[in-house]
Amino acid sequence: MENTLESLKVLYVEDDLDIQLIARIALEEIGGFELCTCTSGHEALAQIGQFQPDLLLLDVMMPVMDGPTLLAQLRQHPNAATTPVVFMTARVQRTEVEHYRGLGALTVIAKPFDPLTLAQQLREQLAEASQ
Amino acid sequence: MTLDPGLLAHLELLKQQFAAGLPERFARIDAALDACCAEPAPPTGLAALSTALHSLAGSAGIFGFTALGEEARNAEQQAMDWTENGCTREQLETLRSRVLAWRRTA
Repeated sequence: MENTLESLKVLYVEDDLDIQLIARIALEEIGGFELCTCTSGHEALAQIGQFQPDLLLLDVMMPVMDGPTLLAQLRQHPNAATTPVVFMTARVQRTEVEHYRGLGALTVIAKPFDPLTLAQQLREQLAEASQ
Repeated sequence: MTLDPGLLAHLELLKQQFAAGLPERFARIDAALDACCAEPAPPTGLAALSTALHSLAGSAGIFGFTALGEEARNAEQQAMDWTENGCTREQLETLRSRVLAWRRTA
């Protein structure tokens, strides 16, 4: 990871604009992260050539292309081939979380999330993963 | 964690804006229910209903409407089950009554 955790570059993909707005405040204004925010998987795939993220933060349930499908496609690109990934979803039963971890997720952030602690949660997960 | 009071005020403003937009969200759910009720059972328009409920379920809790978010999440799960297994007009009307109750309490 090239950046420090303080200036983390995050590719964030979320189709719901209200959730996107609050997460942007949580990550940019509270967390100090640099975000590339996309509203769909197709937009993320179009952006990944110009943005080298330290973290992929992907909503699971999105129309047309869901988070896991998007992850598989992002993995084909050198800018995201090995980038740590975190999924966000309301479905956080044990079997579902295990499934997402099996896809390579560091963790799964449950919705609704707390905007005041979201950035810290991500920092802790990344710090733990890098040890 | 000490937060900028301006930032907290911004979050509060967003919460108020979300609350102000709730009637529009309920109307979207109603319209999807209307479309489902207009179709011969089992309705095929449940995707729009699931989407409207999913959006409400995902955002309500984040803006502090925890109970509404949980209700919408349960309803979304029900709509997804209906997509697979079909549903009756009565079930749709029951959901409409629940949405009406959400309107009153939100």
